Amino acid sequence: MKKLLLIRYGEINLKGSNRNYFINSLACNIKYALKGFKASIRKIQGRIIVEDYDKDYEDAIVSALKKVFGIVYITKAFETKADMDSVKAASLEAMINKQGLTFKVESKRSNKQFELTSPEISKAVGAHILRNIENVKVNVHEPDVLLTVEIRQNAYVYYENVHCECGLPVGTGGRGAVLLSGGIDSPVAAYLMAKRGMKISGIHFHSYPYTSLNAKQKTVDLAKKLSEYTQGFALYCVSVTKIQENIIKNCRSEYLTVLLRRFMLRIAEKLAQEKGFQALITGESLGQVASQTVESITCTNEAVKIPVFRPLIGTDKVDTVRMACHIDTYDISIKPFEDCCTIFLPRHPAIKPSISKVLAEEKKLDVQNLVDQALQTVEIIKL
Amino acid sequence: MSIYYFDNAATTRAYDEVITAVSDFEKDIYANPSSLHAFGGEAYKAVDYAASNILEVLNLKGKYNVVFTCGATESANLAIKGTANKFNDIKKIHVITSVFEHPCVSESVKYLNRCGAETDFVGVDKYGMINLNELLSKIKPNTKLVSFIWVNNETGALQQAQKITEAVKNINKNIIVHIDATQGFGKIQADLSGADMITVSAHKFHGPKGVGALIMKNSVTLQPVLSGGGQQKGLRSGTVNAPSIYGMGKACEILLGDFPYNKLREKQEYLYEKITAAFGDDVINTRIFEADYAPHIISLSFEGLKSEVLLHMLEQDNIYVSSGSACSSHAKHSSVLNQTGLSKAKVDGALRISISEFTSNNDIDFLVSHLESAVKRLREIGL
Repeated sequence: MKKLLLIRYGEINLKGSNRNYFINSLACNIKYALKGFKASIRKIQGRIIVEDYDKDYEDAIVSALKKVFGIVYITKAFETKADMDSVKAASLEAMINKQGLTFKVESKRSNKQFELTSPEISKAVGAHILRNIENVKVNVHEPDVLLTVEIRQNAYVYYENVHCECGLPVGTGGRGAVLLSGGIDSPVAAYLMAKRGMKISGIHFHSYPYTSLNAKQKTVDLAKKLSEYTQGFALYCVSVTKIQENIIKNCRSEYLTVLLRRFMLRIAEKLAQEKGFQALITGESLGQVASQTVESITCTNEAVKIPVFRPLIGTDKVDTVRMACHIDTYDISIKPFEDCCTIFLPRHPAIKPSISKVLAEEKKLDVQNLVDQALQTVEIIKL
Repeated sequence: MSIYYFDNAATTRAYDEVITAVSDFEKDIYANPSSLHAFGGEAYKAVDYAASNILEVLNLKGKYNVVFTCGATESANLAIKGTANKFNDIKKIHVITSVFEHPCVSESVKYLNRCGAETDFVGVDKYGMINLNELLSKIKPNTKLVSFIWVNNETGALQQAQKITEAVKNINKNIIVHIDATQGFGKIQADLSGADMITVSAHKFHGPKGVGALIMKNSVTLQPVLSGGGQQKGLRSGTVNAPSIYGMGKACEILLGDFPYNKLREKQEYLYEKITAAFGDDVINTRIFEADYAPHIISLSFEGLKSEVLLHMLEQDNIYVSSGSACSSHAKHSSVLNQTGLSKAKVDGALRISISEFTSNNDIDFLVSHLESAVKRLREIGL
């Protein structure tokens, strides 16, 4: 009898001829997530099995696996030989410490050679539990514990299901870079895209010394949290101080934000070409602030050709906050260090900028040169 | 790369002799000074040695004793709350302090006010000098405590402690006078012998961090703030921090050998001249040739600039100063600078430069030239 974790995946099963590619990616990501633990991984039909781990670390392993996209359920289980004595012994083991609870046994028999039918297996296992464990009762409608016996080549007894994030394995959906500020939205945007299988890196724009090093550290802390979901995370920190100084000196203040955002996208696009990112990701949500109106987004988007994904565009702040709490980035995001946008913030930013006016303001700047200078400041932090 | 440290009013670098003394003590004489055995007695000697040196620095030997604390905040809390708690009905007592105090005093007095005590905060003139006539006019028959800061931590304003103490005692000799000498101790020699209690902190004069003292006239009694094992005659329960206290005593011994006032004052005047040569006289808040100031602080204001940005610009070259107030919209405005009539723009642009005997004229040149370029850079973009 062997204790193991059975990993079940949902959407991947719907894939056709490239299903193995998805399964292999998932197995790779599982391996990465468990690199701090001693455990081995085995693929069987329709599942991945994690085994040979120290049972004291089972909870920690489950916590790490809960952040791997593509997993629908983790099931705690015993694997044993496909004979009734072994199945009964494993069932007792699974029901230890379940005194006072109700249970139900369900059986599946994909190995049709097995001596008993599914209902017969359930009945025999149930009776064995009732005979050997005190103070447990059967409840077939709403059991506290659902014990599932599955007879394949070997037999499996499942006793606890942990619901996971679902989604697709990171890496199967291409590579993207999120524009990561210190705020609440961008980490959530990164999380959502990673959940659809995108391998995510981050680009952080800072205006040190106008902002403190704490603001940058905050972004590093956010990236670290995200890395738990993305199986590693590279953060590119870029100084936009020179650009902000030039905009302030030369352009009308109400266009500062939209001009700066155009610069950010341009720098990000350059980095994307260099590093192989296929899309950019932002945390923009329609109408949230002046730079996120449809007019402002049109003006910023015009600066680049690369696709810009905005997974939060139709999301209310309360829902974003809920997701930020879920991924544990909220408490970091609300730390009071200003990120690059706020210190230069104009009193009255243009809410509905027109592209012609933005271009006229931008003409006052040596755009190419400023972008190149900013790219010289890139600092890479691997998490 | 060298460090250009101009934040000595925040804390100082411990003398090498102090570091060695503390670490040797931790290794060799680690006994509890309250233990009855001879080893404990060895440790206790260090406490006596430190107390004696502290009193000698202020020339108060004989009539005073020393209670060791974890620093100035604890000392001031003990002095203020410990005095108020001696009275059966706190609602019947009256306490006076100034508007120019460190929060450890002002917040303690506000706490007494919330407990029902009557409190008054006396104003200061444009140099930060306490308005003595106003103070004396506030004294009532039930005034039990007057607490004032000797050297202000933000501007270096130096009160005429002896004059204030005598004037208060002339009206009612039973009024307890507490002087917060945190910034002045070890830098200025003056007669504080009229005071009943004096607060000091070791790390402000090259001693270890985490240790301070309340110097008390032998005749003064207090209600302890901490309950516990009754150490230090019951006034401050908790295992006596002998190694740090020994280090504090060592720092005093070094001061007694070579009192730094003249050296500091010389450097301060050099700094003053350099600053006025670079920026004119108007930027100076610490007007050392017009009023009494401690020899280690110069406060200056760049009207319209954000001091925090200047601080970060200097930090890039390892120059460390303190900003008068935080420009972050999230941070609380806690400066007492506006009490001297300084405009909000000047408070926002206030920097505090504080030197020590380790500061060289070359360091000062380096600071001023970098400050000049930082200010120029900000003025150019009109911030």
